This record gives sequence, structure tokens and C-alpha cells, in this order.
Amino acid sequence: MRKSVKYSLALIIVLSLAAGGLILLSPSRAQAGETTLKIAQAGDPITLDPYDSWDSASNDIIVNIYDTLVMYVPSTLNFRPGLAVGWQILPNTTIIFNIRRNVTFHNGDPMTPYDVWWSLQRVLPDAKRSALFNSTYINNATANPHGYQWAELVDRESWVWLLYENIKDIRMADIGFWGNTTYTGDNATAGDGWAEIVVEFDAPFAPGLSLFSYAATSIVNWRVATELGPTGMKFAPVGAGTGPFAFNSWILNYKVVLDKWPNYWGQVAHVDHVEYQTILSASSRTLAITTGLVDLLYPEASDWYTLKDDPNIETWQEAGLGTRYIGFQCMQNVTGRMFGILSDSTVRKALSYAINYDEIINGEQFLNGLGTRLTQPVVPAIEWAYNSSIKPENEGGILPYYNLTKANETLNSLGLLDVDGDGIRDIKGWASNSTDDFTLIYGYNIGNALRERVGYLLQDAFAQIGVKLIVQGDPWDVFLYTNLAAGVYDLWFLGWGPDYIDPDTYFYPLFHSSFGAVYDNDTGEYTWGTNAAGVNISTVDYLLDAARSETNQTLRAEMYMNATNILINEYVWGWCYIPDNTYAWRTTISGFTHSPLLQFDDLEYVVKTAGAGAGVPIEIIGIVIGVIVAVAVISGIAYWRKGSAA
Amino acid sequence: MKGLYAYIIRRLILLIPVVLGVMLITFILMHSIPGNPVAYLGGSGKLPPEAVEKLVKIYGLDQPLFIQFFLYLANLFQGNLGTSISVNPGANITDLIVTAFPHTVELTIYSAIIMILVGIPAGVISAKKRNSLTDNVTRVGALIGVSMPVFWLGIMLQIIFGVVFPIFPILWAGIHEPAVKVTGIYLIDGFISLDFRTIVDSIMHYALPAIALGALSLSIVTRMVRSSMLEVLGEDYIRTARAKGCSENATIYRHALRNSLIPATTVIGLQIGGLLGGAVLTETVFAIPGIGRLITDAIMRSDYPLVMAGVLFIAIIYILSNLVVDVLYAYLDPRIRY
Repeated sequence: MRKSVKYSLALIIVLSLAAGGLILLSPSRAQAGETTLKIAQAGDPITLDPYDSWDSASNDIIVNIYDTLVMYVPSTLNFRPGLAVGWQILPNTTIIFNIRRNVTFHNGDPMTPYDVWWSLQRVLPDAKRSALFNSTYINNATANPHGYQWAELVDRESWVWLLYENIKDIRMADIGFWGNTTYTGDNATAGDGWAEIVVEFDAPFAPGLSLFSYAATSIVNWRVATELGPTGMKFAPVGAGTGPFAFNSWILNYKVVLDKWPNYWGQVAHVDHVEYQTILSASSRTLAITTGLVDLLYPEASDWYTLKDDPNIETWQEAGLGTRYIGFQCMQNVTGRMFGILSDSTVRKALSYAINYDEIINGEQFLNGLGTRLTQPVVPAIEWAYNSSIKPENEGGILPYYNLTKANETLNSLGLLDVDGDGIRDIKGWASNSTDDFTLIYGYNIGNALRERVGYLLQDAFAQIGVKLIVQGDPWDVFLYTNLAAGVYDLWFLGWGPDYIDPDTYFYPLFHSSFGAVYDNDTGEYTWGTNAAGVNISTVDYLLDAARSETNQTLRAEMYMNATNILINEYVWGWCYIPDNTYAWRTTISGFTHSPLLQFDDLEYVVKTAGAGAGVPIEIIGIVIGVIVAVAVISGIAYWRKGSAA
Repeated sequence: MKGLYAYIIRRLILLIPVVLGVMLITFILMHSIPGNPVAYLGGSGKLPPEAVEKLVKIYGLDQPLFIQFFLYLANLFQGNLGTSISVNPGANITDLIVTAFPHTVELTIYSAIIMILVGIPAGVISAKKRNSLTDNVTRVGALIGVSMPVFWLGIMLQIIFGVVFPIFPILWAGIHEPAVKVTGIYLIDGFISLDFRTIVDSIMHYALPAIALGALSLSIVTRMVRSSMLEVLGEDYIRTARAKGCSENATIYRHALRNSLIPATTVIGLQIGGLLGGAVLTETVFAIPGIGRLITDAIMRSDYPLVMAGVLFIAIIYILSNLVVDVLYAYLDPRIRY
């Protein structure tokens, strides 16, 4: 027995020492001292190729791997030079970009104007690409040995090119123009060997510059892209970008790792690596940041106040760029139901008074305070086109607020009375049969609990003004592409996010009549358009077209504000709210700039200091495990021998 | 022995109709759920209808259902599982499964260790000391284990052992990557490359999910072993063993345990088969990129080809693990012949 005790002790010591020794010798120890910024993501990215990225998870990574010609001053919406050191906007349809020199891609290749031209040509829809691009690249076996078409929807699912429909031509021109002087054509010194990029639009397009801040126009290394092809660019764009971080690895459904790019032309990153972890469970993400497993995330609304109270976590909240609204079917008699009653703006006005905006924004069942009342098509972040004097009536403004008395009065004034005495108003003046109940259908997409709750909130309020509301949930595609297009709903809940930072994106697709649902005579079906409410006001159309081609910002602002006034007085939407942008990060990191675009941008400025004593050191854990295993093995053997000895 | 091989071959041939049936049912079910993967991609609402139409054509979703099914089978027989549509658009499904499966296997290994090393002794002790305090505690414990929802237990373990007493990492994510990836199972890769940190990290990161996942199987095994042990202890040959002067331990471990393990083997085998099919909730709560989470994600996003491939995979795993159990029977119990 004594002997076995000795052996046991020896085994325990040997195993423990082995554990400690192996840890000390482990290759991973060599990496100690490097800092990794860890970010929790709610989903895996779709792609790492900027040219077909549209989802937030992909965008958050892409903006750190690649650069665009025009970038934003951190935490603002003001432009700053990116890969273009300067630009000239010529009246009225041309922009000239001066391309930055001495920029290197992550594989060491120098970036040239050709890369810029190639990247921008690649984004364009087929028909818009220049003949030169097709002849020197697409159809050229030397330049494009694998024959990649980079054609939308053939190799890949790209549709961001739709943004670039207004572009007529993108070309390289060595006009020897450099610096901040205004380009007149006379002061050009031709042929300095460094081409400029000239972008020409079909028609004057005021928001043109902002298109070149969009991630899809990121500049990629054309040689690398040609080598990797669409699939390679999508999953492992090694050496393809010029951004502050270089792609390292992507383990699907787990994490994407980026490394600091030491030769970055701008601020070289402080952290050595950035790791984006895909954590699907919301509660797990919150636990991860509270315990320090990750440093940065978009907080979950339900955990917002917990995170806000945590002394180790900093939070940021401000009105974002998206808008949320209750759309009204303004089109006359789309389906024949209710006789197009909502095409009357006074009816829409009455219903606007029956929306409990305050409850939706502050109610615990709803946004729980994480939103701001929407008062007009644009958001406050677009300061120059935003009319801050528009407020709800109860705050001294002109917008409807939640007031059922006013709603009732308005409906009464229209003669929409309860004729048959069943508690529901009856359609009069819109129908031959005046005892039809005033019944409306509210549509939302199944799975969106907030929109569903809003439906029942409305149902409740509408019942008090004698309007019957049917709440109808449908799967997203049915909701959007089938029912909304066909006008099945009288009102619905929907959101909008900007494609580029300009009022144009808040107005044109949503209120211009050319974006309404289109009826196809052959199929007898409607095709969905972003102007689902069917707004068709000629003055608004005129103003939006004019503002598009006007380059004088003051005049543009005036036009947009005029359009705003018309839309508000027409009650085309129930102006609901702007969801707040929220970020949460641990106090161990500093220098995080909360982009108004709600993206993890400018991570090169982030500094991470090691957290104080995060958990038990791995060495101790190793030794403890070694001892436990040894004890378990020894006692197991002893027990077994005792048992079988008899 | 010859009979056994014939039996195995017969079972493997039977696999074909079963798999075809599973595929057909999955296919019909998936397509009867409203929504389609392309609609998911257009989730921002900005995907123009022309683009939707084009994508639908590319993925052949405009074809009649039976044609889609046969096209799928045709591809399948060429070993082509297709590409994911909406989970990781464009990614090769075989790659996705090959990457995800080792994590599920590793989780299964840990859970099985807990299940076997704790479940069998607990059942034996419980039977040996029938109606004692130990027995009652074990039985109540097993009952709790069976009744507790896995995701709840997982969250509780995270809070207790990750937040209140920060011993274990609360998430799998953040695990140390082995320098050499041969099997994809980090524990084994750690031993291969003698990277102790990988081994320790694997144990630490799998501890909580394995406990959460193992709790259910553990309880089932404990109850199973206890009842079959009690049955065996009443047999004549146990009385004979005791009569010839065998010690109590020897009687139990040599004579009773082996015989009582036969029904337990079935349960353990099926449990392992089930675990290999992916523990959806555990993998989601602990952020393990395993097969269960992959398939759930695919179902949520109507990623038809990925769901089909996943279900096919799980069905095969399940059938094979059943087969292994049946074959094991012959070894454990010489009375069983095939």
C-alpha cells in the first residue's frame, strides 16, 4: 500500500509539472502581449467582397479591410479624403477624383489609379461598363485568365449596382491635376503619369459624391481579385484591400480575424488583431460583454439598461439614420376594398391621431425608450435638410399626436358615422351601401414582435374611434413582394435605411411616383416598389427631381423642406420613430468612434488595455486539471483493483 | 461471424430507402413552410423584384417541385451537395458540414464521458444501496436532470460558473485555436501537436456545454442502469456467485454489471447518436459552431439545400449509430446471433 501511495504521489507531481512545463513551452505563449479587439456579431457575414455586400455583419468587417475614395470624419457624417486626396465637382455632371499616392495593398502591391478604375467599373451594371473595361479586362484572356465576368447575378448575388444606375461613365484621365485648386481645364498639366478618375453622370446627380463613400465602391486589388475570383474574394480576400486591417481568416459561422496593417496610409491601428465572433444567442452576447469575453457589440434592446448600469461598460445612444413608419394606402381603389377610403387625406389624418407614438417609443413592450419621434422623411443627422421646427401638435408643432377625441371629431366631420349602431362606423360617401363597416387591414411581417404589438395597439385605439382593424401577419416575402405590392393592406409597418448619406435617399425612392407599385397587364400582378404607399403628388415629384440635379445645397435644402411640408400635410405616413443607434463597449477599450452609420468603423483608433485579472490564469488551471486527472486515474485504478481482488 | 457481416450489409442496404424517404419528407416539409431563401436575402426590402426573379432562376426555385427534387437527387448522387443559399451564400455545403461536425463530435465526446463515467456508477451505487438516502438522492437528481430544459440549464451554468464564480468561460467562442488542425477536434489536435494550451482550453470551453448537454443523457443512463441492475441482482446466478463466496464488489462488478449493461448500451448508443446529430440549443447558447446550430440557422433562413444536406447527414449518423449498437449486442451477449 505504501508503495502505491509513493507511486501515486510521484504520478501527481509528474503530471502537474508536465502540465506546467507544456504550457510554458506552448507556441501560443509567444503571442502573449498582442492585443485583440473582440467584437460580438449576431450573425455570420454574407461576404467579404465589398462589391456585393449589403448586410450589416459583412459591412462591419469590410469597412475595416478596404478603403473608399471618400470617407467620413470619425463619428460624424462629414466627408474626408479617403483614397482620393481631393475632388472637384464640375457643373453639373462630373466629379474628378485625385487619387492618393504611396498606398499599398495588404500584399505589398502599390495601389494605382488602374485599381481604382477597375474596382469602380466592376461595380457598375453590365450596360454601364465602359467598352475599354470589357475589351482590356473582361474579354481579355491575358488580363483575365479565368474569364470572370463579375457580372451581377450570374457569378454572385449583387444588386448594389442599382445604386450606380445614374452613372454614365467612369474613366481614367491623366490630366495632371493635383491639389486643391479649382479645376478649370486650363490649369491642367497633362501627363504627370498619375491618372485622375473622372466620373460622369447621366443627369446632374447631387448626391453623387456620397456614392463613393459606400462600401460597395471600396477599392480592391485587381490582380488579387482576378486571381481569387468571386468565391475567393467572398470568403478569403487575402491581400485585396488597403484598409487599416488585413484579412487573416474566416472560420464560417464562428469568426473572422483581421490583422493590423502596419503600412496603412492613415493612422496605423493600435490593436494587433480584430476578431469578429458570431454569437447567435442574444443572451449569450450580453453575457459575453459583461464577463469581458468580447469588447464591443451592438447591445440587445432588452439588455440595454443592464449594460448601461454596468460600471465596466460604456454605452452610446443617439438617433440613428433609419426611419420607421406606418404607411397608408394612398392609392385610389387598388383592390376595390373599402373603396379606396384611405386615398382621402382627411381619413389618414384622423388615423394619424389614433397612433400612440409615445407608447411605441417609450413603452416597455415596444422600444423601451430606444427611439426618437420621426417628424419628417429625413433624420436629424442630415442636419442641412432637416426642419427641426416640425413637432407634434402637443409640443407646439403641426404633427398629429395621440388624441382619440381629435380622431373621432375628424371622422365625424367627414360624415363617417355609425349608421347601424353596431359600434363601428359605416362607409358613407365611398359606397352605395352605407352600412358597410369601416374595416381596415394592418399588415406586418411575421416574426417581428414589435410590429405585431403595434398592430394590436392600433386595433385597440381604432376600436375606440369606431374603426375595425384586422391585424394580418405574413412571411416577409409575401408581406413585401406580394401583398404590399397588390395593396392588400390599408396600413402597414415598415422601415427604411439610407443607401447613401443624402436626403435624396430618404425622399426619392419613397415618395416619387416612379417608385410606386407597377401593374403588369400580362400577368395581372403588381410588382413591388419602394413607394409602397403609392404617393403620387406632382409637386413632390417635381421638387424631388429638381433637388436631384441642383448642386446648390441651400436651394436643395429648401426644395426638400417644401416637399416635407406637402407630405406632412397629406398625412401619407404615420410618422412613427427613428430607432436609436446604440453601442456598448468595455471600459478597457478607448478611442472607439460611434459612427452615425451604425457600423464598427475607424477601429484603427481603438486602444485596448489589458483587463485587470480576467479569470484564473491558464497555468493554474492546467496544473489543477493535471492533479484532478491524476487523482481520478489513481483512485479509479485502486478502486478497480480492490473490487476485483476478492 | 459470417452472419454478422451479412447482417451489417443488409442494414446498410436498408439505409438507401430510409434515406430517400427522409429526403422526400424533408423536401416536402421545407417547401411547405412559407418563405424562401431568396426572400431572406432580400430582407432589407431593397432587393428589386428583377433581382429576386433572377436569383430564383439561378437556384432553380421556379421549377416544379418534383423536378427540383430529382435535380437535387441527381446532384447528390454525383456527390454534390450544392451551395448554401442564405446562411453562407455561395459556400460549399460539404465544407460547411465538414467544418461544423468536429465541434459536435468533440462536444459529444465530452458529454458521453460525463454520461458514462457518472451515469453508470451512479446507477450501480443507487441499485446497490436500494432505498437508502444515496439511492433517493440519485433518483431525485436523475428526475431533475430529465426534466430540466437544456437551454435553461445552460444559461444557469453560464451565470453560476461563468459570472458569479468565474471558473469556466461562458462561451465556446474565444477558444484557443490549435496550431495544427488535423481532425478539427481540438482535444485530439492538441495532443497531436502537443499544444497543452489547446488541450486545457478545449476542456475548459467544453466543460459547461458538456455538463448542460450531458445532464439529460446522464439521468436517462442512471435510471436505466439502476433498473436493469436491480433486475439482474435478483437473478439466480447472482445468488450462486454469492453462495460460492464471491465478495460483494466482485459479485456486482463482475457478474451483475456486465449483464445489466446490455439494455444500457442501447440507451447510450442512441444518446450518442442523438448527440452527434447536433445539440441545437446547447450549441446556440454556448456559441459552438456545430452541426445543430448550422441546421437550425438553415431552417430559420429557409436554406433548402443546406437543410436537406444536414438532415441527410443526421439521418445517416443516427442509422449508423443504431447499427453499431446492434453489432455491439452480439459482443456483449453471446446469446444474440445474427
